[in-house]
Amino acid sequence: MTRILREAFVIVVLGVILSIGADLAVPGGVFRDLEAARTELDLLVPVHFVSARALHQGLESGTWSLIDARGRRDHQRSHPKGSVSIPAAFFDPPEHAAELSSVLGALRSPRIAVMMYRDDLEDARAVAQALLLDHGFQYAATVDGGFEAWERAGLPVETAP
Amino acid sequence: MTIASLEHPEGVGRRAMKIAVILARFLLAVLFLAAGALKGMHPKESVLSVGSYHLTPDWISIAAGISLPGIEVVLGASMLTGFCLRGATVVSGTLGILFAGGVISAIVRNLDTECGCFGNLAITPRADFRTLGLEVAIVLLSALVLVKAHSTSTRQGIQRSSDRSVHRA
Repeated sequence: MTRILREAFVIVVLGVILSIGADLAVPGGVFRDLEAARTELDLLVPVHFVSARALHQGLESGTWSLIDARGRRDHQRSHPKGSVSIPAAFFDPPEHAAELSSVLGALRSPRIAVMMYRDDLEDARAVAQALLLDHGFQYAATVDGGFEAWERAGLPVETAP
Repeated sequence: MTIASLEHPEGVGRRAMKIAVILARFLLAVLFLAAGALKGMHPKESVLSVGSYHLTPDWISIAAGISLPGIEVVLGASMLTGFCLRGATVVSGTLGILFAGGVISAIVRNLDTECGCFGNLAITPRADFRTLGLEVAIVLLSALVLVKAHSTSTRQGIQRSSDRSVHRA
């Protein structure tokens, strides 16, 4: 048993030495700028996810708002009932800042969800993070499975506007 | 399959076990080498991946994020070469359990976070049940390799001590 633990210790020590060497060798290593890494960690805010069905119930009870962050054309073609269209590109400041703040200001529910297509999860996550960091929301989530999951669940959709 | 192993069912079992262990070591080696190399190229992403689980204070996220890539590469090399193999399986199993704990906690909290298992390569875009399956597989494969490596080592120890007794006699 002691021998196994000794071997495990050797593995960990070798790994840490290798890691430190690699970190110093690559550009943008953490050791070069520990303060920057700490700042980026502080900016990490927890984004949650919500299922389409739970979100639908939340929209009906008024505890959730839903932002459809897909393109405007996709929104006009078909969108979840009760969603507000704000394409993800609008979150790139400062061009749409005024429009964005007026639309977001009208949303009063304690929780806000961002919906895109299933494959655009990273963009949806980025929008949710922007809502938490820049727009004062306390709880933001992405929709599990995206718009496809909403349609698959047979939940109500609308066409334009 | 040899004629001898057909005659002795135990031989078939032993051979199957040997093949399973070789496969397990190869799989673990590929997984750890890929994970370590991909994370090692972007250490800051590795730190942020640990931090995105919101389980650890900043200094632990930084220490773990920096250390993980190297440890994973050494684990992969150990699985391939057999260097400190039993210790490597203990480390890989422990890592698998810790990662599984993190993923379970993310699922329970409905946390939308990248698994971060392979750096920027989003094989599983969210820490979910698929990620949990991967971690459980790592724990099971590590246990299989450890059991086999330990029994082989014990057998060799017994053989050596019996050889010494015969030599003394």
